Amino acid sequence: MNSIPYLYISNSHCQGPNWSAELEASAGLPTIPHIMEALDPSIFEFEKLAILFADDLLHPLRIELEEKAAGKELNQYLLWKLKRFLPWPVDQVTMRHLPLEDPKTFMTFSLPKTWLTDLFDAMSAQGVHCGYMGGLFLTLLENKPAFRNQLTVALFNDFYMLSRLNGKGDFLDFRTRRLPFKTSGQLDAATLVQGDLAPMRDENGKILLLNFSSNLDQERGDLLQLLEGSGMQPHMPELPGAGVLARFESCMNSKAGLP
Amino acid sequence: MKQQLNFSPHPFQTRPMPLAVLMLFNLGLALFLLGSIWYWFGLRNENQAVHNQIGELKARQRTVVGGHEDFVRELETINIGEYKKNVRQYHGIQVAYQTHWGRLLDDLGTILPEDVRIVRMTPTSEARNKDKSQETVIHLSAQARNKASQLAFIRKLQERPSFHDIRFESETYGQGEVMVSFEIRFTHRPGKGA
Repeated sequence: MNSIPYLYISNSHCQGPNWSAELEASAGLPTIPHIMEALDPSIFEFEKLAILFADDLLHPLRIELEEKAAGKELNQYLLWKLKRFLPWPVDQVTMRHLPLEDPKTFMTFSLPKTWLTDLFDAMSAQGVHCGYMGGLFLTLLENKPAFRNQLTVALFNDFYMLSRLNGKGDFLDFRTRRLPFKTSGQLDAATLVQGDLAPMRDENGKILLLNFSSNLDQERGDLLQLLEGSGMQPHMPELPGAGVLARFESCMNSKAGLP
Repeated sequence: MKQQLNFSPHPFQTRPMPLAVLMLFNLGLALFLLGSIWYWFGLRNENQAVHNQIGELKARQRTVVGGHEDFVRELETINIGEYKKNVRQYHGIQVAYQTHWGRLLDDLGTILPEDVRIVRMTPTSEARNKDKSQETVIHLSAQARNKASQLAFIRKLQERPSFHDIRFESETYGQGEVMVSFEIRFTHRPGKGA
């Protein structure tokens, strides 16, 4: 699976091996025709492809249930709870969920069935089988052991995701939030650290930051300083490459998950 | 790549390691069973061949036993006493045919006294082949007018080289002309000098 090439899609651009293209700005999901127009023709030379979505496209939501449920009943229960949060009818949604530490709390990720099917069919029409479609950060967390037993934060252009996994790779906590920016457009690192990250500090205080946005490279020093000042032990490896996909692949291609 | 959060309508067909191991094990098991069946067929054919050989041997045994029983039945129908008698008769005839009667009578005629007469002369067996001449054991019954004639005959018989192994077997004394009836057994060897 690691040898299968990746295609990254966010709401503003898409990236493939050694190329990147901007997408027409849209409030929600990018349309399939726009995606297909933006793709570099070289992507159709592959027979198999793994599509990675920017994780915020998956509408990550933290759902708390009043009662315990399992199997099909749990799926229906979660969809019923998602009714008022999703912009699409829940009966037309493909939903995946993750149990968190509290047995009544789940993280859900949802995409419209038709959008997924149309994207799959459009790629299939070009002779490309997209057998994997998932969130970029979620894919890393699921497959690499470096992110277990600690707090991990993935920084993207305008949002971040925070996760805590136990030693077996089970999710204990998962959150996603918009990044705070100053009026100048600069990252408000103090608010991010003091307001969001510091309260999540666990006993050992270890925190791993993965920066997938080249726009935030210059904020590395401030972030590390602020985190250390808050009594945490931050580790923020410098991921190689300029694009999200290049940085993802540097993690994915390493054995543990960190280059 | 794990599939828990995969949104693809048709995910890649990935086989988890335990499933791959299980498939490998099943494949191995299938090959083992195939080999066992092949081996079993080989054993069955070998067993069949051995059974066929045993069947052939039993058939031959039945044939031999049947032949033996027929032979025993055939033997049971034979009268051994009669057979022996016939054999003796045939043998006597054969010996008689092979006896040199001319020589014998010539030899006896030269030594037979006037008071002795030969009643019966029977060759009993074909004697040994000795000095390239055929010997014949003769059982002779004779009558003599007196004891002196009898003894003279026997003495002459003993003197002749063509007669030897003379044995006196019986003797009876009567009345009238025939005073002595006797039986002797001797071996006649034709070709010896008179």
